[in-house]
Amino acid sequence: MAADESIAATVKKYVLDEFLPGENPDELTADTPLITTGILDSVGTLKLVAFLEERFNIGLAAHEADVEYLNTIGDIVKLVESKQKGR
Amino acid sequence: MSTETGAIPLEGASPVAAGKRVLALPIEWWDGGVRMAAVAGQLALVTLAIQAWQIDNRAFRWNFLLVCVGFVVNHYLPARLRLPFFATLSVVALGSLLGLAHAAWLMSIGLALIVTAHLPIAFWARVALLGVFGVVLAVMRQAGTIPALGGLWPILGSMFMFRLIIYMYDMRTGNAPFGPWRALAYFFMIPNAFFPLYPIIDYKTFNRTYYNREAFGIYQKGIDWIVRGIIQLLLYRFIYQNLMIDPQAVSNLGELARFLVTNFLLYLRISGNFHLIVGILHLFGFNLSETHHKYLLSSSFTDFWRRINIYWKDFIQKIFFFPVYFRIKKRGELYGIAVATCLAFFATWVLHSYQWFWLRGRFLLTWQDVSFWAILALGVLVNVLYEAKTTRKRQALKVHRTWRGELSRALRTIAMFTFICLLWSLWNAASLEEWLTMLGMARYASAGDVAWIAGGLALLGVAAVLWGASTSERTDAPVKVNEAVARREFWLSALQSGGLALALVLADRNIMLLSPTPEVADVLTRLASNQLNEQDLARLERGYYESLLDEQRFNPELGELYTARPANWNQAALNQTRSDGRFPRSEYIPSQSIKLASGAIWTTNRYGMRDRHYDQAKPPGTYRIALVGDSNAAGLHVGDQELFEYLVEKRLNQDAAGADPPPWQILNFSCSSYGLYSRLKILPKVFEFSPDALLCVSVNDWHWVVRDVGRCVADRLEIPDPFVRDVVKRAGLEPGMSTRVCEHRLQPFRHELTQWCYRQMGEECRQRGVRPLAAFLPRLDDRNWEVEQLPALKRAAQDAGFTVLDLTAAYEKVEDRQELWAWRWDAHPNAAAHQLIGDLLYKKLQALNLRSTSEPAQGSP
Repeated sequence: MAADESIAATVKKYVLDEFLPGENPDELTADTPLITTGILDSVGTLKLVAFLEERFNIGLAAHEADVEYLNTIGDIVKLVESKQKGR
Repeated sequence: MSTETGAIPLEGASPVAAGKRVLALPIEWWDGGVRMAAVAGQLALVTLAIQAWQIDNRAFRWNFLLVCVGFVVNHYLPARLRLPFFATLSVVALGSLLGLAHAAWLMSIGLALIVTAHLPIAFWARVALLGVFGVVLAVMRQAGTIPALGGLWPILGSMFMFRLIIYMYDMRTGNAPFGPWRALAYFFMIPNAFFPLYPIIDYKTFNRTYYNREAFGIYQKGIDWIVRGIIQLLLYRFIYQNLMIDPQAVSNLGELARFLVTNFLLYLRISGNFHLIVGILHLFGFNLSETHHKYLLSSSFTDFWRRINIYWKDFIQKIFFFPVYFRIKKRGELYGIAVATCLAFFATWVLHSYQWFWLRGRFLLTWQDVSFWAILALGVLVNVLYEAKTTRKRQALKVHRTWRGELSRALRTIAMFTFICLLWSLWNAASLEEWLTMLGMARYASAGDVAWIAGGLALLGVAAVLWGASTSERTDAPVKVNEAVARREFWLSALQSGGLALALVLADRNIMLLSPTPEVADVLTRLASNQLNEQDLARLERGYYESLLDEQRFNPELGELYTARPANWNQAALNQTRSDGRFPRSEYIPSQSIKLASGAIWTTNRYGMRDRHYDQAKPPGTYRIALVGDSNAAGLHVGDQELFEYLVEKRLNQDAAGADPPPWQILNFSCSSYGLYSRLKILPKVFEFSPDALLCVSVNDWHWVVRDVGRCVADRLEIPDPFVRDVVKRAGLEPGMSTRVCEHRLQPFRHELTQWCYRQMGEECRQRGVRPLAAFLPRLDDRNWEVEQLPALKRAAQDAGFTVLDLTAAYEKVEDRQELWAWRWDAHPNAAAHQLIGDLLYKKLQALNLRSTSEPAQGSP
């Protein structure tokens, strides 16, 4: 649980700093859609992938840069955890 | 947890709405029944609107009825049977559209491709096999190995050319469910049979979105998009029929702006069709995302790329951009993005050409295409690198509007729209010279032009502020839906779309309650038809001896017609002429006899006349008429005994049955593309046959005289006449300029040239005691010509001493003149039309009493 929160908080901070500067942090929840609402476009998605790989020391595949895995902070946490478990 | 169809269960969605068979409370059944009735009612209105406005092709309109029936059956089926039903319905639609034999061919090849994709061998071996399979099919398509597949290649190509790539990619990544029904549904999905140009639907998304939200919400969105598609198609038709102008006709800034905007807006046809396609798929539960999103309001290159043809962008991103980036990202983020962007656009260009091959039968390799994609790639690359380097808010969680931000958006949108219109016109230009000439017309600007252009752009800016901030709606991720909100949205949407569909039905001119003015009635009539506009009719006329495929590569109206043409449809025009490098540019090869595509025989005599044999010396007692004209008078697509010249000569001689030699001869010197100037220049050859009368048969003199002289200059042929050389000089023409530019610049001189040609011909006739006659045929493609041009042409002929024979009443009893077209894509007269012309010309010649009048008479008989 603590690991979850740590990942979620880290990702949330990154998304707020990088893609939503000036926004109220409370508005961004674990369920807020990022890709389907346009907060993350293709370049944004790649920047997020680069951040996740570096920050959590994981490797992502091209097909994982997708709405199925990265649409919400909740999805991202699941992806990072699954990668960490698979190491 | 997922359902048996791969759908994702929803929070708050009712079991009925989610498509499950459960024992439910009566109120839920009642609600489901009412909403189903609402959707079915809208669908009925949409069907009526599609029929009333003749939306798209006949195949689509008929199969839409099948879609409606299929929709109702599909909804009431148990969830596990819906996908098999959809796949079966798609196959049935293929059979009904193509016929069993053709559908069997298409299905066999398609199934072989799918089976190959699933062979129990290594993945890359399957990919290699599919590659070989594709090459073999491409060779067969080129060689026409299987005649039964002649018209099916575009459909087969459209089903497999991209979807197979995505299918294999998803198979490789193990990222989506697979199964026989899924494969059949994906590759043969029902709208594809009647829409060869099809959005690239992603396999994973196709599966993920299947009933992934509340069913009635999906159906309603389908109706919304179908209605939106119909409106876009009607807008397209209105622009195409009423607002489009030919690039050659652009002569000032206002017309330039009109051309640039309307040329870009023709894209509405593609976005309209894509809305119809995806809307139909929604009716079967596929909750796909938008294919286009307010692309006219793009505010940057990347924004444009993400809004127009979104499925193409997603495909390129998935198959090329992300994989390339992930492969090279270790060399640096910006480097990776730059290289991946360049490769993505290179792939886009190659795949457009590849798509062109499967749909049209040849690869599209033109400088216009390369320029368009290269410029767009450069713009997107600069944008993308800027976005990657800076922290930028793509989309806010809440809307924060500032004056500065909105003004910036408006200005960026105006700049982007202007740039895209220009780029689009370059993409469609026949030549760089023509494009630059057209742009050069911007220097002729009036205050009125500037005012309406500024007004239009200001309106665009306002629209950008009001609606430009939204992003495309994506549905490929699960969302929590509040059932009450969903229900309210359903009814609001149903009211809106149902109201629009009802308005479309009531606006049909046949049931309109109000009596429209003749002008409005005319616009409505043209809106409800698929007829070509004036520019395309003119292009059709030019296209008999030119390869227009290059010029018309983005013209769907002509493209469809050209694709349907059999190989030998025009051999009389293409293969039976020769040129000796002098003017007139061509003449018929003597002593030819060919069998036309219709089966009729088409011959030339030993003098190269489109006629039977005559001795050069005129028999005593014979009245000889020399006929000079263009392809209409040469009977381009009719047999020897169907040509009006033959019919008239035969009837005249029948009146003097038994006379030997026959008292009448009509010698046909006409040839394809002979305008007045060509006809004038063949008179020395004509007079060698000692005619008593010269019959000049015309149908569109202004167009052809300009074309005659323009091509002369373009082909660097010597112009023997000082008058014509002077016109060429005054028009600013230089040898070697493109034909279209020459024609464009000669337009102001067309009447002057026409008058001069008639005068010269009249003078030549007078010197030799030949009676000049000028016959004017009706046009089969443009009735306005008779009002706008004919009086001036008749006057020009009369002033030059010609007796005018007005034959424009020949088709007056035929309601639909298209019945008289030689081909669906060719407005030359067919045999029936020649018969009608022959009947009237015979009467007019009889009334002239030529044999008993020795002096030329002026005026009309």
